[in-house]
Amino acid sequence: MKRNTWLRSLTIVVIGALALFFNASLATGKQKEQVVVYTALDQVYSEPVLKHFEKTTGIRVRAVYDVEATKTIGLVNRIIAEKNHPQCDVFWNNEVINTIRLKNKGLLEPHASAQARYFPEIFRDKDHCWCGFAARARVIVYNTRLLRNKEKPNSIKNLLDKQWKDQACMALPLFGTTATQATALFAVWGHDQALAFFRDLKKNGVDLVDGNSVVRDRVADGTYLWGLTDTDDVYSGMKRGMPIDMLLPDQDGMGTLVIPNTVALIRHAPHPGPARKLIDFLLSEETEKMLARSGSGQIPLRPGIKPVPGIPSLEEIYQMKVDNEELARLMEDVLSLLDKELM
Amino acid sequence: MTPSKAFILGLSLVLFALIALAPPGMLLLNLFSFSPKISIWKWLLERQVHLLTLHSLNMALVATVTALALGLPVGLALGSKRKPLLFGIIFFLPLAIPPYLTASCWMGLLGRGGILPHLAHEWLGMDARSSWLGGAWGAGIVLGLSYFPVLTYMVISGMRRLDAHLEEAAMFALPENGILRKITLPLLFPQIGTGLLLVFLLAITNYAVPSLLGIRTFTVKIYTYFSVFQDIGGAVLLSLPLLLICLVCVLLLHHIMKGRVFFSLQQGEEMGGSLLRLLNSKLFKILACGPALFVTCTPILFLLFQTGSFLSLKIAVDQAKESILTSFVLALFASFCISIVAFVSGYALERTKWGKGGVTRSLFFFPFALPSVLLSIGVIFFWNRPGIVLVYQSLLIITILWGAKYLPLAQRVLADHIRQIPLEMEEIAFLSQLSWTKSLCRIVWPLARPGFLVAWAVTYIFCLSELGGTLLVIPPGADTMPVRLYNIMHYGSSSLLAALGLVLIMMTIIPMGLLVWCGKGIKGLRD
Repeated sequence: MKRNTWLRSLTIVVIGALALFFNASLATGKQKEQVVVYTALDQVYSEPVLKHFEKTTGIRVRAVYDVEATKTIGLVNRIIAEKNHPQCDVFWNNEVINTIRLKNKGLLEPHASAQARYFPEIFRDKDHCWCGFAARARVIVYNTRLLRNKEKPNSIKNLLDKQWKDQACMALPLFGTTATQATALFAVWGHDQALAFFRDLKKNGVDLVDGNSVVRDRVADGTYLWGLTDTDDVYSGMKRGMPIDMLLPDQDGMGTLVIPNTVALIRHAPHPGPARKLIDFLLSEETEKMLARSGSGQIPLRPGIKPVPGIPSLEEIYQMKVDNEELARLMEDVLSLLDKELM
Repeated sequence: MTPSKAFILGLSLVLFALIALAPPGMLLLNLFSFSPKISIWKWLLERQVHLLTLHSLNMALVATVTALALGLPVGLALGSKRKPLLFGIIFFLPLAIPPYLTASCWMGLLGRGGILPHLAHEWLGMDARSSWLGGAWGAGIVLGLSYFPVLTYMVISGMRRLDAHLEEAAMFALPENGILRKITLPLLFPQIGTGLLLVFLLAITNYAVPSLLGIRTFTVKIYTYFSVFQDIGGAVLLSLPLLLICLVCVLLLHHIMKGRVFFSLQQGEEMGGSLLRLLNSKLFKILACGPALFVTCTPILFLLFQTGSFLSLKIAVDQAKESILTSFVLALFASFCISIVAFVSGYALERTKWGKGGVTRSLFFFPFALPSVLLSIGVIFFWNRPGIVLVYQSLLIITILWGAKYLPLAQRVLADHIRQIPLEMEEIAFLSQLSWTKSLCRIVWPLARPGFLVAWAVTYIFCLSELGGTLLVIPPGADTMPVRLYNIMHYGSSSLLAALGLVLIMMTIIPMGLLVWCGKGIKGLRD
């Protein structure tokens, strides 16, 4: 009898917890104003911005954050998979090419935000399907202790130098900004030279790690002397006291790739009204300042906002000249090729 | 069969089929309608397949050997006599630590830039940048350290069912260690074999550990390929060699355990005196339990060390309280629902003629042998449809995914337990005009309750730490602890990671402790 009572109590507790939990879920689901955002920017940096939006507007934000290992691509493919019954309202991407891929597939809805006019034209879509803001640059991260008073790399091509054999790393170029950079190299150098470059990376012992933050960590702990990563990863590491610093690669050559965050409205979004409000908020001066001053040290694209010390401003960077539309067309073939070559 | 019996059993089997069989089944049935971007023949001939097979098998075999080295001696030591409950619980702690967290701890100690290579550099002048935990071997060892309690449990379960008379008879002809070698171990072989195969399956289908250590295995390849190209057909084709390996394991499992029970909660007769003396000798205990105790406590001590202070723990809990609540309630709910369906469908499997067939049993167990990544692709394909989109949008989709993976295991636990309940009791109830539902509730359920609680506990532990599949299906606005931990591993601080790791371990231990404390009166559960 005692045992039965105990088991009955357990059942009641479980069912009670369940009811409360799902009641809470349903209650939040029934809220009048909410917006679903898929964001590829690291959760630690994007979450405070979204929380601020929630607090300011009272609109509930339901976010899906991408994981480091499959940055951007996971969410893009999820949006593609859901195209017949979209779940996402706003796509906040941490780069631009995959946003254009979505546009080319007809999955984006134009939204001419009043805020967009403040951004340089190269970071805006002429059809108002997406707009760029708060950028990062692809930089060289190096260990300041191990490379003190020593020659430092200054070009992506240094990855192939015998001098740096087994001493450098980068993220697997199938995801996120590394995939964008790989596609850009195919566009700038041409197919054969770029393919040879990636084949030679393996020969020269360049380790392909799980993400850009892992590149930073491996360089900081001395596993590698240097690597390729994004400004935000280096900056967050520097703030945490890691012995690292950054260099802009190829400033006297093809230039450094600058990659903006992009925001877009999904076609047939379930909550278009709140989605437009969120896009306007993300493109506001306030958000650019927040992202610049956050631990990620993003590069503001609006004229007049200065980056934090340690981060170069847009004017200081000699940018790699690429046609984003062309990169979007190239990307799938490039990734397919690299998947075969590198995985 | 009465209509109510047919309805309830039928319903449970339909639920089982919808949750566990339909997602992977539909994937395979629709394989060529997906128009995969890769050709199966080209793929099978590529060098990459051979490398992936080599890495996957290497990792799983090393995990199995590690589990054997650690789990068998502990199983023999714990199974020989009733040990204090606390002692038994300590050796099941590795299951409470998700393998990727174990991997992270050991990487912090032995990996590149880890504490020990750093100390070796300081004191011995060795290369500080070397890794003592690299490659498929390293991943295999970590998985072995995580899963050895599975083998330990199987050995204990087997020892409880040993016929002590055989050992007593052998005492006349064999020395003490001869009894262990020639009588005890051969009698335990089915349980040891099953434990090893389960460890092998868990290791070869693991995604997080090889991904974290940068090992290219089938699961990592499937996840990467699906994430990059969203090509369902291609992902299924890529996984065919792995599916074949898993299928062989399931068939082997069935062959080894033919007619025997996987999981026993019954206390058999205590074994012979001299063998008991051998297994209970201090030397054996130290040799058997020492290494296991070391590898169990090291990650926990490392996490405590990394957390630093109680304040860090408090900050971590404050930051992640939504994830903690979601994970806890969801795992509690999922494991409860899975155990209920497993109980009724396990009964159907055990007490109906068709359920006794080897093919049926292997088919019903097969989803457990599938990698979570593939199962989650099946779940997306099967459940992301107009009309039932609410399921896909809600946390229910995670429950379904966990059900697809762990329902077969829970069902096997309960089916085995139901098999040990004499059929005559139900026949007497039937002759006494008791309806089937009443006989199920009043006779079978009370006797199967320990099995139910074990199935619930096992499912709860696995659900709480599931990562590979959850990453692909997690709905907007939701965040489970493993997903948060996995993200923090990439860009969070080590103290936050360690603190949340400890929280996750506590989320496992506290309910298990409560279960043991509340249920200690239930016969069989304590064992």
